[in-house]
Amino acid sequence: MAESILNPTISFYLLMLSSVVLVCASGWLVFSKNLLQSVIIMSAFSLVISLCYLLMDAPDVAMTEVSLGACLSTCVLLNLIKIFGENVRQSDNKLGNRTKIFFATLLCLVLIGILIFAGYNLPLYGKEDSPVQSHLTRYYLENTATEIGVPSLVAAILASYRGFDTLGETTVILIAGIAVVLILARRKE
Amino acid sequence: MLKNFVIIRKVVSFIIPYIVLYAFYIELNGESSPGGGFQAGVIFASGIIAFDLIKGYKETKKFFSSKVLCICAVLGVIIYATTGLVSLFFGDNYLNYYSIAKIFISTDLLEKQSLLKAQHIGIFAVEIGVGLTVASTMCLIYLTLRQNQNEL
Repeated sequence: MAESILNPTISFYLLMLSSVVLVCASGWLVFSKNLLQSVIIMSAFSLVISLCYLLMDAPDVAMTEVSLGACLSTCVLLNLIKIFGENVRQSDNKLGNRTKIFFATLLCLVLIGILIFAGYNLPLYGKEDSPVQSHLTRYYLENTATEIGVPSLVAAILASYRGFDTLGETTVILIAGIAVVLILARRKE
Repeated sequence: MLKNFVIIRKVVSFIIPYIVLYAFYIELNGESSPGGGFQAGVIFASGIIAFDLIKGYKETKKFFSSKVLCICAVLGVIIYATTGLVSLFFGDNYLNYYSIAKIFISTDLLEKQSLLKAQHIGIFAVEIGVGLTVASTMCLIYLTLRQNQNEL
């Protein structure tokens, strides 16, 4: 990808196109008045961003994004809409609303400026001798075949090198489920 | 929900077995292809949600009651933690899969091969635990919200 900024490939054009689509979708999401519409836009947003992950060679993340963001959370949110109704209540104080939007926009623009300024100092995407690629990633790439013997690097890192972290994540998911049941379940069965 | 739409009902009921099959494929091939326990669990849960959409809450409740799902979710974490406990009995660190070689596989044949096989077994068991927990927790969250909707 480092050379592809000079000689753009088709995946680079697709990434640029999908980033434009993502910006448009988030703008539409902010200004939509209908909850049902925003849920559908969020689902489409997840679908497009998972395409981005796939183009950047991260199929695991893309899979998670499609199944969680585009499918599961959409179903849960649609259920919630069926309970609460799909129309957003308009705020009465129009002037206060407008000032809030003005300040929020200013803050966002300042943040965008800071991020663009910081982005100049980042190493190029996929550059070989960047700090991320040179130490830990190189160790995993060189030693997974001899130490773990598993073709998928992601599975080796998640389940074996970082097994304790994954145990914690699994426990967190379990606790989240238990909390949802405790708060929302009906008492009488 | 979608009981009255014939085309959607037929298409979704045709697709559900393949979604579940795909979930099992990802679960069993976790160490050689993209995806793992987490992704498999979420895809399995989305299969169950599709079943719930076309059959209704009462039918789903027959097979996946909240009690069964809670037990499955806890069982997944227990499988994970027990896989880690094995290595403690051989004087190694927690979650060190190399010590599985000392139980199941004879170490004297090929030292390196048996160690790699032990890693395979450990990763496989751990992925099954993660998949079980994620699948049942996602179903649990969805079905709890669905239950509240039926009430209103």
